[in-house]
Amino acid sequence: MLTTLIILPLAAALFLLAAPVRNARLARAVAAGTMSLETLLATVCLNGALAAGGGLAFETRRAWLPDLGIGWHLGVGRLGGLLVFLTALVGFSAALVARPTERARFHHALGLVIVGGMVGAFVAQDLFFFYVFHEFALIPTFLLIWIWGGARRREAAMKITLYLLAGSLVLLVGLLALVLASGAGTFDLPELRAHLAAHPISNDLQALIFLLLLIGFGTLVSLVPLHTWAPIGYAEAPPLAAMLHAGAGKKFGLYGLAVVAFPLLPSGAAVWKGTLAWLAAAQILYAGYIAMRQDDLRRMLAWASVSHMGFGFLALAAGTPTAMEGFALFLFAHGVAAAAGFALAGFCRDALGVCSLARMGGLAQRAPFAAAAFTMVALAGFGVPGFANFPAELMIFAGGLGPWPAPTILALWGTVIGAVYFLRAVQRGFLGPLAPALAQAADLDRGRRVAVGLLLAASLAAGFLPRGFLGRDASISTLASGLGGVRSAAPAVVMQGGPEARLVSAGRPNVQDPVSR
Amino acid sequence: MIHPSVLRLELAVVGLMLAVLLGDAFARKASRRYWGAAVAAALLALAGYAAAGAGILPNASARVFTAEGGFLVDAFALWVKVFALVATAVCVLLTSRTPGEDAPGFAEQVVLQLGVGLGMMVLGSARDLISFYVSLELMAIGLYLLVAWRKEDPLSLEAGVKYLVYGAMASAILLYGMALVYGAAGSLEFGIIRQAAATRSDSIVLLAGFALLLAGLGFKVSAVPFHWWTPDAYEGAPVPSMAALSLLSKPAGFIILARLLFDVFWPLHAMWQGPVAWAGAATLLWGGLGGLSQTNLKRLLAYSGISHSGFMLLALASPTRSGVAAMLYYLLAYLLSAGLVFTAMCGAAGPGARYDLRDLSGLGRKSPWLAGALLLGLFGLGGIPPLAGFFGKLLVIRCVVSESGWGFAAAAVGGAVGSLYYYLVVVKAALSPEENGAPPIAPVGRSLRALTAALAFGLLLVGAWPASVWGALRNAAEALCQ
Repeated sequence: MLTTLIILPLAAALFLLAAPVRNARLARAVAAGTMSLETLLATVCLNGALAAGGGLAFETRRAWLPDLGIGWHLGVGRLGGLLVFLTALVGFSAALVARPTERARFHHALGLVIVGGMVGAFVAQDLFFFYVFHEFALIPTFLLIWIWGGARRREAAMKITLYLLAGSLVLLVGLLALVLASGAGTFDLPELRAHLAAHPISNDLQALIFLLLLIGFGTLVSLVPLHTWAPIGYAEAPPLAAMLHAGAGKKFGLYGLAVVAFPLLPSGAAVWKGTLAWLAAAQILYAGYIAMRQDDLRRMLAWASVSHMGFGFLALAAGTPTAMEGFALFLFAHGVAAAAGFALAGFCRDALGVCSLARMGGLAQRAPFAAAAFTMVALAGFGVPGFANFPAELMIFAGGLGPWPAPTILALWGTVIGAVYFLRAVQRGFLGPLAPALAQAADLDRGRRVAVGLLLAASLAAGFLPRGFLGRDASISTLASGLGGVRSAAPAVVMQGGPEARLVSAGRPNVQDPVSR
Repeated sequence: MIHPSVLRLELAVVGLMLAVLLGDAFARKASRRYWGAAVAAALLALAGYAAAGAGILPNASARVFTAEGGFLVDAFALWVKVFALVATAVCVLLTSRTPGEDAPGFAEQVVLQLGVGLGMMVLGSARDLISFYVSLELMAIGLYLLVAWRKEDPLSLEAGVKYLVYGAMASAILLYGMALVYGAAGSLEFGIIRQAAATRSDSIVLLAGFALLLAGLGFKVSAVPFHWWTPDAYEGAPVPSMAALSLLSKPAGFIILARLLFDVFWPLHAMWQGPVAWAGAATLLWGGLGGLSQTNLKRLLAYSGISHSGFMLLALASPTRSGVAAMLYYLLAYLLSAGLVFTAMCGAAGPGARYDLRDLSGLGRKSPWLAGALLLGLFGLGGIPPLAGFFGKLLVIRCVVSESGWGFAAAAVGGAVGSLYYYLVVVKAALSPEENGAPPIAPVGRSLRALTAALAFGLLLVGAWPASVWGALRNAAEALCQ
């Protein structure tokens, strides 16, 4: 099942490269068809993961290189299942949105390779493949930006690739150090977790390895001050690459911190948690203020995305069950909203030829669908109730207030800043008198409408029914152990009633949360 | 007593050299079209035979001696022979594209390359100082000629002279070291020298000889601070000779280095581990940073080669079997990736090309096949999964983290990032739109296509499924570290 999930997009990519598909529309149809099938499979996969009750669903094991303790071990837990679903959904929409001007087959094939690699990373239960699949997905991103990007694409491609590959190398050193220091002689994640629970690594070494993992994963998620690749990278990338990376690819770093760094190195995490919480708050505010000053829509979205990643770090630093629940939902919420945002910004650049807010006022008159959709992205972006971001951020704040009151309060201010830059973009770009550059503008075509509509619908669905995406008894313990093995000592917070009841109980974290010390 | 049957692989290569020379004297011009392919096929068949044990070794842990104990065949030596045969086949096929099979001197060039390959095969089996030195010189003499091959080109001549002078100096240093070691141990044979190293590790003469041996080999593998010749020699040499330098000469240096460190001077491993690690880190950083400002592909590849040498030195600096296995795997990955890059270079330009980076512009449009080979090779060198280069880096970093420590791991990451940057610069050049004046490309021939496909397949296979070669590498490492 999971192997199929990985191989399907890769096989479709090979088919696209090999088959004589001359027509760009046909190439898009093949990619979108594959991705719709992938999304169906991913839904089954998410359901299986939610039904597995904290264990792994669809496990597969094969020997690969037993001498070094590396094995082909796939399995999907709750968090992984949610991210697989997110990747497939974003991949499908991105395939519908992509309109390369040349070499369409190659373009779509690269997108499919990214999806295959990301899905592989989210279902791998062996640290070797976990790493390899992610890195495998990076090179197509580079090529997509390089060949089909904006005016400064070369600079952007070099920067994003170097940063991400350098971050990955630090990560590789950290992962190898973790495996070697554990003494377990295996890269298998559940086995490592069980082994480390019984024989923890010494505290000093944990702190060092955790720092390496934090730098490695942090670079991949644009943790300030390792974020400088993100604004130019996303601003210059074609919609396919920006959507896939901001929507799904970037989540790998947060996912890795949540399933590898924090659970395997608890005392290392304790050393760096405080720094991380303050960095997260700084990131939310700093990137948010920069986003306010952007004129280019795509740069604005890129900075917004950097700023939002701070919520993920804050949740991880807090580590309370409520915060971690919010974390899982946040990954999904941010993924769909960012993908929709970049789809619309890509539409502005490619179809309208204008991406500067100063030159694109009044678009709502010519393109009401696009304007409505962007307004919804904006509302989701600063966490208006109804969209998935609201419960996610609320739970993160509620869970974070106990352990890190000051950073959490600063982060709360981030939503206000978010409202400023998103509403400013809506007002300047879409409302007011029609800009002369847009006199002939047309609205979104059908493919783009379906894509953006689907993403926003997913955000609304997750906003109203978070339980459907997180599972009935979701909490840090089941989320973390959903990647196999040991349950954390913290008792699960069992939420009852509808989403409202859940949010109310989440609003009183100190009563129920055994705040991690 | 010499038992010729133990030398059957080497004798077959000698036979092949004679056949090419005789053929050159008597064959008509029209019949030469597939000479390169025929020689390469014969070499690959021999490599297959060697990989299957060549009828010499009954099992993986056996050791067969001949020539009064001066020539040893074990799993390690056999692996070296397989490697040398494959690498020579790659060089021969490259020669059949530039300067081409009908060019004057083609046969001589092939014979010299076969000689270099033969030298490496003997070197893998060297069991005393004589066979060690003779085989190393057999390689060096062929390479002196190959580097200076384009004698009408002053750059090639300069490269040849530089390589000759540095090489002669390195040989002198090696010989001096050998003399000291001989004097201290009282024998040329590795087994007795090992005993001497075990019992008389405080002998200053022995240690000085050992240090001089390491310095001489440092030249062969272009380790810092003996690397100065590399960029100049690479820049001037024709591409097939450059391939021989980096696919045969450098691996041979590492093979004999492994034999010295892990077998002959194993009793001193506490003493050599530190210096080898430091040399590795320095080499890695020098190669990673020195390539950043290069505008010529050949010089850039020379720095890339230096940085890869650093990685392999770091692998050797971990005194374990996994260190040797990592080095052997890394060599294989380097052969496949660098081979692809050289193939693309041979296809992209004629014999006299300078290979400035801007000459590559438009390659993606003009020949997607060659651009694909170049990209794949560069990604292989850079260590992008699932290509073999990645797994090689992983193995080395694993050794470094477990044996050498954090500082060295940091150096490995720094050097690797630097070299990634300049590989991307090459990718950038190859994918950028065509500039005016970029020369057109001759159509890619069948043998070059076959070579590209075979190397690419190997790079993917060995990278995505290392178990396919791991057993052989482990046996080789175990045979070496007894």
